[in-house]
Amino acid sequence: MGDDVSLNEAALEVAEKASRALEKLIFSTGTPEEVLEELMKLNVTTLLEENWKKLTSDPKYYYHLDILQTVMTLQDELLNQLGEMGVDSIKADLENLDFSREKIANK
Amino acid sequence: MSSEKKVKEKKAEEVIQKILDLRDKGETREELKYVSKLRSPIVSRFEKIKHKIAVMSGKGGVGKSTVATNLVAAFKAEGYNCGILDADVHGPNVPKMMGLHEKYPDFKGRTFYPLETEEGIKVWSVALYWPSDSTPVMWRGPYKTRVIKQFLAAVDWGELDYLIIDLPPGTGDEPQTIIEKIPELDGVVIVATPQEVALLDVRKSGEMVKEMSVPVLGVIENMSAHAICPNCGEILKCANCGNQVEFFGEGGAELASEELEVPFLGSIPVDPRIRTSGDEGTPFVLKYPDSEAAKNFREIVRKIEKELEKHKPSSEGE
Repeated sequence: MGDDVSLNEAALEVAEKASRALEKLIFSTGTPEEVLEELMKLNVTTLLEENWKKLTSDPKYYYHLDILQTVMTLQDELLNQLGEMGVDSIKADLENLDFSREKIANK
Repeated sequence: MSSEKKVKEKKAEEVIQKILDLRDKGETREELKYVSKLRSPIVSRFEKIKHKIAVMSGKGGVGKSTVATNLVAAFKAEGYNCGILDADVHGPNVPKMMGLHEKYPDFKGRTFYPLETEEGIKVWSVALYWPSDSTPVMWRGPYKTRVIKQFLAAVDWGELDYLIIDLPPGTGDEPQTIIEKIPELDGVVIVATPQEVALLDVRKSGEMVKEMSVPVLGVIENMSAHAICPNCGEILKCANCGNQVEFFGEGGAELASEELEVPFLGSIPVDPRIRTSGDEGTPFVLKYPDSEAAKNFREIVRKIEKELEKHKPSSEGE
């Protein structure tokens, strides 16, 4: 149970911080490089590594895995995505993060 | 680092420098795309894989994953070291067809480690780590593309002779991204059923692949011609008139391959055991090696090998 609470909190914190960083692109209050730096500070790799078995074998962690994977792939590809698809493409990621965050918070 | 690798890296750096010089004089998008491909982590991931072959279909439901899993098994049966990447994120069936149900891959240091089947075939698929078979993958546009790129960049295949890539159906963003990103992709095999409507899709797929300057290694006609009795392995005939039972006809994919001016690799008859062995998690060619379909798969593999020889860059082996 305690593990669940800390994983919930960690996933929600990642989603919250990632959303705040990405919003800077939408509102033009941060450069792509600054936003990427903020995303890189989110320790999603360790969270994924430490909870990998739980996240991948139990459907109740679907939204946790989704948040962590969303941010990890953004860390790798944000600049390419912005270059190829523009800032608007970030809106789908923000919606996705909000949706998963809501699902975890309401459980 | 091997001397061969050093030479390759030196050549790549020279090409990059030339392109950057060109860019300074008046850059173009195409050149920058090429540089980003050369410098991508995907390139180093694929360095130890000798041959990369993508399997595609113009639409779903033609048995693309069945063909892909049996092709990789047929290559394995020839003694090659093989892997299969299930890139169909919305319909990831490869692990189940390869007998990898409820087994979990490792993830360490941002690297994914593929699982290995009993026969020693390496497998990677979103289905290996997405919790439960019934949880839908609801990724959209950019996210989906990023995950696919991550599969290409972060799955550690080790050394392989052949990697078969089971592409998502159609000619949209995802198959295009994969075909574009895989370094030195040897070519694409197109799977089709014999009906007229399916053939329109073959033509579209073939034209798309050609447009991307990737060789089409050939076309395979699945569910072709006669059907096979699952009990005795003989050709099914009508009990009343004695004629052979043909569900979808025959020969259309061969016609399409002629139109596209690409090789026709062969046809796979309707054999219900292909479905049952897939459901049971053993590729058909390994479970029924003496069947007509298994023999055809092995013949197709030999034809693909010949095609690869034809498309081999002239500098290779020098």
